Amino acid sequence: MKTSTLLECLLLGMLITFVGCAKPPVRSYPRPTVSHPSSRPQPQTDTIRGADAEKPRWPTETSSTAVNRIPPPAYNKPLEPLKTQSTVKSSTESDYLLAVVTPLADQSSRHLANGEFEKAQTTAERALRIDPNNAELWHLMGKIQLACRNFSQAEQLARKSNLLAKGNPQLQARNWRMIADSLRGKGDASAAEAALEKARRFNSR
Amino acid sequence: MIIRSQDLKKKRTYKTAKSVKKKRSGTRRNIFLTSGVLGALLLVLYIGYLGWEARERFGSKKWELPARVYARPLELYPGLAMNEASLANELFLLSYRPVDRIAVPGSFSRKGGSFTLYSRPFAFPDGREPSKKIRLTIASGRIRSLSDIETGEQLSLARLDPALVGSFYPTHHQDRLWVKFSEAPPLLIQTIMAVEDRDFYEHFGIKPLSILRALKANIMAGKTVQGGSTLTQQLVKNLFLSREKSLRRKIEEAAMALSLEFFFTKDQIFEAYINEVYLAQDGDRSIHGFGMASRFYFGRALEDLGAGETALLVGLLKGPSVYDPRKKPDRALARRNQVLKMMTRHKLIRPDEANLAMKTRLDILAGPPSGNSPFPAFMELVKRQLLREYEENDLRTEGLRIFSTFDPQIQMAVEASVTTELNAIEAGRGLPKNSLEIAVVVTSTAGNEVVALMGGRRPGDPGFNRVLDARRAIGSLVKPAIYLSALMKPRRFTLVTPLDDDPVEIKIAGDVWSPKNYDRRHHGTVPLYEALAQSYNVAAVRLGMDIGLATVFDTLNRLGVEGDFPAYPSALLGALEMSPIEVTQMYQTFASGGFYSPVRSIQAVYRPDGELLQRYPMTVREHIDPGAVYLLNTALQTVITDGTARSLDQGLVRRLAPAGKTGTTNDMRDSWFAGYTGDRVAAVWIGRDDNKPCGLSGATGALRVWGEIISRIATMPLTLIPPENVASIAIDPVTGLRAEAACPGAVSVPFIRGSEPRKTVACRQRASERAAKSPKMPPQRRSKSRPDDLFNWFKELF
Repeated sequence: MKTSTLLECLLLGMLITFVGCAKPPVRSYPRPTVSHPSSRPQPQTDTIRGADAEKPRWPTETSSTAVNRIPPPAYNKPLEPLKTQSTVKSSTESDYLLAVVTPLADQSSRHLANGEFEKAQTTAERALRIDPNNAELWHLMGKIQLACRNFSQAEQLARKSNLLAKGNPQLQARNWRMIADSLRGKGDASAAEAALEKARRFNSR
Repeated sequence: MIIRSQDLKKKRTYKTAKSVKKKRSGTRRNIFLTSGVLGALLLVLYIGYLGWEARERFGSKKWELPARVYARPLELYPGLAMNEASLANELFLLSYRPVDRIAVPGSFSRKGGSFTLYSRPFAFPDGREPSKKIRLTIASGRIRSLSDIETGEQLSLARLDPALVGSFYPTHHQDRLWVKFSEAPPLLIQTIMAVEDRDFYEHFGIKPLSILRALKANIMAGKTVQGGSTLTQQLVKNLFLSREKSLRRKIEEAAMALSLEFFFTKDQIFEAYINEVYLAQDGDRSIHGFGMASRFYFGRALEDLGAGETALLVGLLKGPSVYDPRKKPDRALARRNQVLKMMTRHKLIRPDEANLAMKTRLDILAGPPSGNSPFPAFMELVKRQLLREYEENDLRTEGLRIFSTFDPQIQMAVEASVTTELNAIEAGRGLPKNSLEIAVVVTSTAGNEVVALMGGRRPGDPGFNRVLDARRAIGSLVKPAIYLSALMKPRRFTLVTPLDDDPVEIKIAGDVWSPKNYDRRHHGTVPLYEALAQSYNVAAVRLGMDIGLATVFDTLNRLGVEGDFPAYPSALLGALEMSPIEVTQMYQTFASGGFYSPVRSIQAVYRPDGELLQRYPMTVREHIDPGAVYLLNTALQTVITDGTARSLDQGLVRRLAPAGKTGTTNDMRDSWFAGYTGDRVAAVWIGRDDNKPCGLSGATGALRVWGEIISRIATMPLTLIPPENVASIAIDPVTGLRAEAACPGAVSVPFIRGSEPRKTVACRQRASERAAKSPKMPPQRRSKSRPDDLFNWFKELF
């Protein structure tokens, strides 16, 4: 008798307590307050502590011997002929870098065509980290910014591309056209026209 | 409740009719029953409260997940400059296991320069990189071939999963890697059920019969030998209750378990369990959940575990310290095999599979990835950049995935260079051991991304971060800003404008300041480029005073160094203070041809579910005319070929044609060098924390370390491309006027268009003037000079 009473009370109490309270687990995430980083870190004194000085950091074979030294780069010299299998078809630095970044640039362009701007930019930056002095990649970065209507950055990227595009009038013309588009986007029609004129001059070379 | 009371009352009335004696005892019973009912009511309320609390707490439970900071992923491609040791180092950092034959992701085998890797899959911001079996060969410091073992195809590019640079932990130091129930390997789920709670999907949170059985067994044994807890009860205990063993806690546990089962699905409870359970301890970091435990013990993702590893992890539930596979491998092995047998019994694996697994070693990762970052100085930079936009608590608990710009290969080269060179400098100069301190930062010229950073001489030292916090006088590092300010006025200044290096006196508030050259001599009239290359103080002060302090400071601001500077003429000799990271910012603007990019250490931040939270894009902004920067860069190259940094003895570094500048402060308190190649900018500071003289000039201290670093990293040569507004013309080195192009000895000098000398000098005239001047030329210089080498010629000229 006593047991059944207790059990009933228990179930009833629990039902009264719980019913109507259920809701799914909720997680929240931080939201950044600023959209872009400012230029440099602000000094702060706190540090993350706790490096383990006792454990070896890496295998000893590499620590401070000449083994770890990268041999003299011979970028202006052809690579040694390769006897083993290799995808390096061409023999200069820029050629084999090109072999690496071209598929990435294509992939970025595909993302851009599909309107996936974030992916397009991530992929273009990936290529640029591999080949930072490639004027075409800087142009591609500008193209992505233009598509995002970030005119100011598109213009700057086109200028950066121009700095590296010496001897490639066709690319310089494209850059000036991009500068013209950016300036027009910013509402500066006369400067845009002047940029377009420059593009024409490069086109005629 | 009311009905029951009436019922009781009826019975009492019946009893009252029996006798007075019985009536008395009935009253007592009445009191007893009333208090019983009240007690029961209280108990119900209490249990109800517990259940409610469990529901609330579990429902709103915010799992605190540490933020993970990843390095840049290693991109492998044929032609990449890399040696065997640096690849092995990176694989070590990635916890790839050296094996004879690659069988699971995260392993590699190596025979000399031939590597086979089984890469781990990784969800990158631009897409998921699947696991691949890769074969690559390295010869003569380059990757020579790269192919996919399974398809046999040659690969143009392969990307490995990024190394973990470090984590920002919650304050309770729990480390866990969240595993969704839907993504947990079925074998793991089934094994946990087989070992811990085989009726999990049938019971309602508690199993009364099991509790009774356990109770009986424990009473028989006289101690606790058996537990009757379901997974839900274990979860409740871990989440909400103490470790105390009492009836009260048992009741609380049961009530809360019932509540969870009532309000949440079985899968939700299981997911919480596999992520909550404690499985290892690493210093003050506790490893919770199977995801992290799998990384900690095997260096592998949970989905890559075989039956043996799964058995080991599940076996650990019984007692992670008792069966610690690193400290007590025998016990752990026995426990694993016991679990494997249970798995066979429950038909989770075939007997032959179990037998095979039982014969294999534990195969535990020898050096588990430490919870403490091996690169605390870089982590500090990342943290500061993030703290501008995020709350620290969010940073520690939201499980953010932070993709950084860090390059472990370069960091390792920097660490090795610093150790080697500082020891050698101290030994060579008879300085006390460990008396010198250092700060090094390396960034990319393209986007100013920090790739390596050392805040002090001891690798892994989380102490004072000199790169960020040590603001020291920069000495001659400021001079390029003076010369650039001049070159930005092409009508007045060109690379060959003669500057006066004769003594000068400057009156400041009644005092007279007369700057001296480092060599205590004056050099008369010197061309602008040489005054910079030789770092002549007097010429620089004269030039700076001529163009104005405000103009120089404006240039510094345009170069990316923020803030105001003390308006004293001594600032022209670097009496202004900067941190090494500010110096890097300044020199990166030179290196990128006048385009400013803010220093960045982060590429993007993602939520744990893969959603982008924020990107930190590569940005550029033309702050200074690229033409003027081009001229400056050519002069800064001569600093290394013929100027104050000519002691740079690494021939291979010289072939990269780097540009840079030495800096030395009063009494040799600070030794600086900042310079760049085609794709890297590096700044090095050496000095003492107590600011006492360290006895090193920029060339004898920082330059050595800089050269060592550059010689150890794969970097591109600096190829300066003249911008549109720059033209090189043939100059007669004697008169500094235009030469006829065909004139022997004429040299090519870059000018901003319109600033070229107008007058042309004839060859014959030049020859006679040269003959008249030749006795003044130092013979050793003549012998060193090369045909058409502008700067050697000009040395002879002035």
